[in-house]
Formats: sequence, C-alpha cells, structure tokens
Amino acid sequence: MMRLGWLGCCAAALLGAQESEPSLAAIRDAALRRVIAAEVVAAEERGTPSAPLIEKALEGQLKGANAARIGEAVHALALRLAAARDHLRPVLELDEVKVGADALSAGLGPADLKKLRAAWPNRSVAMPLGVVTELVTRGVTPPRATKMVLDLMKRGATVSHLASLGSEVQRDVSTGRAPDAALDLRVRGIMSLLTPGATAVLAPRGGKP
Amino acid sequence: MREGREDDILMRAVAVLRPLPARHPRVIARILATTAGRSRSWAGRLQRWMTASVPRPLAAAVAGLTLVAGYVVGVRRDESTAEFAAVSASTPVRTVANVAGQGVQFVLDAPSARSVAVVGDFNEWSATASPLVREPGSGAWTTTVALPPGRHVYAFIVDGVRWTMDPHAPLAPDADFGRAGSVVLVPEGGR
Repeated sequence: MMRLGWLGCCAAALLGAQESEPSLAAIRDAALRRVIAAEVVAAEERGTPSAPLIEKALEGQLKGANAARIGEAVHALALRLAAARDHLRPVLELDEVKVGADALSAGLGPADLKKLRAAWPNRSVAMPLGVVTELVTRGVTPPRATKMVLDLMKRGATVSHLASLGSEVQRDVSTGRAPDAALDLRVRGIMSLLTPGATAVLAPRGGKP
Repeated sequence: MREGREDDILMRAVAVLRPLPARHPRVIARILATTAGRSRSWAGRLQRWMTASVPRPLAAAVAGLTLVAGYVVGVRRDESTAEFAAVSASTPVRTVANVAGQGVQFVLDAPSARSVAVVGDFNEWSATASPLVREPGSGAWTTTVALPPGRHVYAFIVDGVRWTMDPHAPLAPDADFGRAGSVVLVPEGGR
C-alpha cells in the first residue's frame, strides 16, 4: 500500500513537471533535440534555468529557423542566462535570471543588473528588469533607463508603478514622442504620486495610481 | 487610380489623428493597420506594376503562374515546416492585449479568419495551446491567458499560417530569428 502511495506521488510529480516544463519531445528535429538536450544538462549543472532554452528552440522551430540557427540562438541564451545569474546574485527566483538574460540581450551591462539587485535585495527584480529592458528597446540609453527606474525603486515605487511607467512610455513613443522626453514625463508623474506635496501638473494622462 | 486616391485620403486622416491623444486607441490602431497594409501590399504593388508597364497578355500569364504556384505551395504545405506569411492587408486587423484581473485578455478582430491562436514565451510558442474563440455575432476573437508578472512577447497566428503582430502593442524585435512580435507588460495580479 505504501509502495502504491509512493508510486502515485511519483506519477503525480512527473505529470506536474510535464505540465509546467516545456518538453524536449516537442522539438521535431532529432539532431537538434540532442543539441538542446546537451544545453539543458549543462544549464542544470550550472544551476541556471533550462526551460528558457527549450522555449527558445521551440520559438525558432515555430518561426521556421533552421537547426543550426536555433542551436546558435540557444547556446547564446545559455551564456546570457549564466551571466545574468552571476550578476543578479543572490537570485530570488528563476524568472529574474530569464528576464536578466533578456536585459543583457537588449544592451544592459552587468553593472546595471547589479544596481537593480542592490536596490531590491529582498524582492524580485523581474519587473524592474523587464521595464528597463522595454525602455531600452524603445530607444532610451541603458544607463539612463536604469537610473530612472532605480530612482523610482528607491523612492518606494511599486511593481504596478513600474509596469505603468513601461506601458505609458511605450504609448508615448508610439505616438511620436522622443523616448527620453517620454521617460522624463512619466517618471516625474510617478514621482509626484510618491512624494507628497510635489506638483501634480506633470502627472501622466490617465496614469494609474 | 481610385485606390491611390483612397490611400491619400487615409494617409491624411492618419496624419491628423497621430498628434491627437489616443482617446480611442482601438479605432486609431485599426486605421493605421489598414492604411499601412495598403501602402505595403504586395498584391497592390504587383497590380500597379502590371497595369503600368506590362502588356496585358504577359500580365495574365504572370497572374496565372502565380495562382498555380500558390495552389501548389498551399497543397504541399506541411504544418511541421510551415512558414508564416506576414499579416495580409485584405483582412482588417485590430488586436489588443488587456491586462485583466484574471489574466491577460488577447483580442483579435479578424472577421474572415477561420482560426486564431496566440503564441508566446508563455505557452512554449505552441500554435495549438491558446486558441482564441470567436465572439458570437462579431468578428472579434478572444482568449484570456494567465501570465506571470513581467515582460512577455507574443503574436497571433491566423488560419494556422498567418503571423500577425499586434498593431496596438509595442514591437518586440527578434535578433535571433528575425520574426518580430509584440510586447505586453504584466504587473502583479495579472496572473
């Protein structure tokens, strides 16, 4: 009876793992599957997340990339994940490493990641990193984007404030405003919400509290 | 000729709308998507090129060959090696990703579509994992997906073959595979 119980637990754990982890079996090319499997093993030995590697391979497969290109992209991602893990120590959750790898890809440097970690040593920096990455993608320089988000984090901005900042700047840039001007405007708007007595004139139009 | 005139009128409308505050972003996105699609339409360019500088018999022959080639490609298309076409100008497209209480709602207005799915880093880029459902009595397709907080890249696939970005969302460049997507930022509570 005890053995049956253990068997049931193991089966449930396996099923659960299959549900939450992307599957290597979904990679159709057998040779590519072996390449990705080796990357997964190496990532697990390094202690970096392996799921993003399989996701990257599946992304390339869906987009019609050839096996060599997919292998290169997955290997480059594995290196970025390892670097992000090192720069974000102590890592609080694996999502941070994944977003950190995206941030490095977008042009952020190791120092930027370390500053964000230092600002929130006990909270996940996945969202701040995502917002900085988004700002850089919209055309703000990495040091400036990092500094502005750091200022907000130090002044007590919440994750919702930061997500709102990213969305508002995205919207402004899409309507033709210069990235730096959009960032200035939106940061000052959020600052006015965080600092009692500050002017409300620069509050974002329709900005979320 | 008439299409060119309509393009001019629409481009002027876009020029007027762009500086205005986005009070009706869905409407503006729809106009932008439609005009952008017209100006870049390969079919439109081919038609103009053929009618402007090519004798009619040659134009007819090219059109016939194109149709045959299209049929052969369509018949031989295998889902495992499918290459996605860019968004077509013939179908008005309006898309939006709203961060709702229970997740992120994806909406695509594609009245002539037979199927729509959203793919992204949240569903292993699977074209079957997150299908959209057509709203009764409209051309809108919707689904709500629970997403963890953070930055997510996504795109829509229409009729299993048409890669469709969200004109209402920021572009997500793709340095790895050259197929850009769209971005949504999910705050805490988006799950």
